[in-house]
Amino acid sequence: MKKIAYPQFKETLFRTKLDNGLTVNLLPRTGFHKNYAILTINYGAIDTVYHDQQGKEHAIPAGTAHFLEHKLFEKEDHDAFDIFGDYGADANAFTSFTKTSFMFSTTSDLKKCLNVLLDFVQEPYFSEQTVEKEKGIIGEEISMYDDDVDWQLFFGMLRNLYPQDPLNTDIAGTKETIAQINAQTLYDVYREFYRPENMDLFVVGGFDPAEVLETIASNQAGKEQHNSPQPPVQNNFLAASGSKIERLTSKKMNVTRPKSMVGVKGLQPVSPGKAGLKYKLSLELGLYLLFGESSQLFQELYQAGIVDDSFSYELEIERGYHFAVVSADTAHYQEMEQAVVKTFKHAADLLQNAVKQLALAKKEYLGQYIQAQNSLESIANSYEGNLFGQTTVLDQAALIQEISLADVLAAISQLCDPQVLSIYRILPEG
Amino acid sequence: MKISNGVDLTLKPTKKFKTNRILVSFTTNISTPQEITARTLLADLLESTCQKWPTQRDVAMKLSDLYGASFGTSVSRYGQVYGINFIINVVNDNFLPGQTNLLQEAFAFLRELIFAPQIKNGQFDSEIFGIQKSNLKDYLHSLTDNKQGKALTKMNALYFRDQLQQIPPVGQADDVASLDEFKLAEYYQKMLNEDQVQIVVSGDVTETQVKEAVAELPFAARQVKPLTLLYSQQSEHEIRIRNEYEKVSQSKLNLAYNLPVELNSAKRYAAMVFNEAFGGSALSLLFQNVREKNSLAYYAESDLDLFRQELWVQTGIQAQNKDQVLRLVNEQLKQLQAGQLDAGLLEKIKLGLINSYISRTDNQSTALSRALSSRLLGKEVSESEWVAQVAAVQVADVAQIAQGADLQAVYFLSGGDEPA
Repeated sequence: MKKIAYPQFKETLFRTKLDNGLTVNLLPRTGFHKNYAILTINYGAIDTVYHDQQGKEHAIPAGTAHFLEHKLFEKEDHDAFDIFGDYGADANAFTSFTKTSFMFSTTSDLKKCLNVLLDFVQEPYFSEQTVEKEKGIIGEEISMYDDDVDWQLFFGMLRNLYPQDPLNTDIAGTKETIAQINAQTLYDVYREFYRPENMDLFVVGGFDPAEVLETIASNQAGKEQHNSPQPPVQNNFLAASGSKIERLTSKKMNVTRPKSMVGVKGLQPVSPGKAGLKYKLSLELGLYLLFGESSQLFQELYQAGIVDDSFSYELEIERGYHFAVVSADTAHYQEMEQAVVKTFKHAADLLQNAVKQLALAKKEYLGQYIQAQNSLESIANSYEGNLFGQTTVLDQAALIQEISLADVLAAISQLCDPQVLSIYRILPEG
Repeated sequence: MKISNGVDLTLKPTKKFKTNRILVSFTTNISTPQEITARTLLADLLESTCQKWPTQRDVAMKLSDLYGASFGTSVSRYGQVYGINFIINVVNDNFLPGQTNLLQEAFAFLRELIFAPQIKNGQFDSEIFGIQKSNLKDYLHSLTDNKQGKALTKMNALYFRDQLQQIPPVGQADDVASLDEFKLAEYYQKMLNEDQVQIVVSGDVTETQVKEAVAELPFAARQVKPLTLLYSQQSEHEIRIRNEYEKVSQSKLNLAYNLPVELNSAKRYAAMVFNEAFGGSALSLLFQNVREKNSLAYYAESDLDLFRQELWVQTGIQAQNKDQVLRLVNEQLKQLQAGQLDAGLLEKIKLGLINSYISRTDNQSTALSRALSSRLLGKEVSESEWVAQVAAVQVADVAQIAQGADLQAVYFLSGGDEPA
């Protein structure tokens, strides 16, 4: 086990790669009753192609990653929730565009729960009957998100920025695409992506790392894993469509207040490893200075009654794509959009002399990253595998202190290309 | 410990976290719906600016200077008691470079925000008041944009007979117009001088440190008032039914039940187990039957608020399945009333509750909220007692609670075909 110490934060992280390729991260926390484990597969909704055993490519129906996540819990004669229930453990799962994660938290029987987690994810069972039954449940999940205004706003922006990419479809798919899924689809996709070398396990809580590692290692050694001949998952870069974006679209919904979002699409691939993390943190700081609570812009728009506390920004950097968005719920959406677009266009100029503000922002972020360490989930979920060189919030807290104004300016200049700005609105009906 | 009359301090020392967390809570009984909304506006005004930091931006920069301190105000309802809470979370000095004393500074910050708002000549600054008032009105109006939230609010309005209990704890848009700069300043004085005050501090701190820091807050002694906490209402014979139509993709079917269980009695543990078995977890009867067996919903869940003796069920379904879902929900309740609960399932449900109770002690805000509710209830329950009480619940206890559940209101937000 590799031991990574963070003396400033009094933490030690243990990492190893098992013989079958599974990466394991263990972070013991003294004094904690709870243990949290998350098993992540580097496979999500943007991965739209699989290979059959002859190596031939096939298209995956939209929503399959999410469907597979749902169906792995159910086995021929039991449900994984039920087994976790024997230990009082709380289990869950989620699917994003680039990842599928299964997790549990428990205050007792950690080792048994780890076996349950690894077994239910690594021993698939699908039948036509249970697959059909799930379509009603997921159909309702899709309906629920159809009515979720913030989700619709976000997806409207994704469709604008990535009109020709898999990001243009909801993670859960549509009622039409999930109708195409059957048990064989799930087995095929499972075989391609659920390989130990394409997974990682992060465990954090009050435990002894050597003992926990032994449990995991013996569980994995006892399993016949398909050592697939398939190539590793591709890091498909999804900005190939470049500046072919929708610049302004809108949708009417049954809402009282308009919502608007301004987005900018990252056109350059993000460097792998720590360099990528540095780019991310530089952007975070830059966007905070431009659009955060202590920004000049927010203060002006707020004082003028154009926006309220719903004004916010978000940066997403994932495998294959990245973008930033700024949004608000406001009747004065046009004024908001103009001001945000103007700020994006002049971002580098606006930050040129922000030495003092940057120092304050770094203080803010250092404190926030230390606060995040209180939460077992925040630590484990901050691990992004190879995307950022296997770093966590512990590395972020250390790295943020090294970022200079030049780094921020370079990152912001790279992202804020006026050619790829887009606006999406949700407007009240009538 | 007592700071002065009506002002109490609870200290929860722990080395588990990297932060120190402070709660200052103002609680009171109130008598008009307007006051609920007024207190939300007050919480917004006191959170955003003060004399020393007159704009949001000034406050935000001060918080950055305190190493990204997290600060916010909120309002809450515990039965008939209404709270305004100030919470600030600061990093423990041990994890920061250089010399800092963030605990002391956090209290100094609170002093400015709580004791020196922008009030002059008995009224809030008009410009600041105008912005916050307009923002609150827009916010309260937009709550119906969240359909699940809307259905819950409508269900409560239908279920409760007391006017105050009918409206959400954040108030209602219609009451905003009646508020002005003078009235809010009066509500502020009332809160500051008459509300019962609880200060709770959790972190790696000593009593001496905390006492010294708390001295930053110049609280005057006040009359100690026993607050009326619990709300209950008699069951009515007739079930209240309301159907509304809206152009939505998913319909919402909500049911509210009277659940006459005393919060301070041992029965509350059986009530929690009952709720968990009925619809409070993925192992529950509602989840298993409405979702897993019949594929009728993505969510079908129950929850309870013993401060108000209310149990409710929320589901998101297709309109044409309404009767089937109603029937299934009733069947699950009947099953529990008849004591048909598998012994193995009961054990899992209890273990799950205990696990989540203990897990929450790993969250620093739990120490604050538990200290506050112990204060309100006038009773402290130790962790071991809580666990023992839940473990002792038997099938017959669950059945007894289920038998007390009395359906009172059914609210349906229909997304089906528009009525002619």
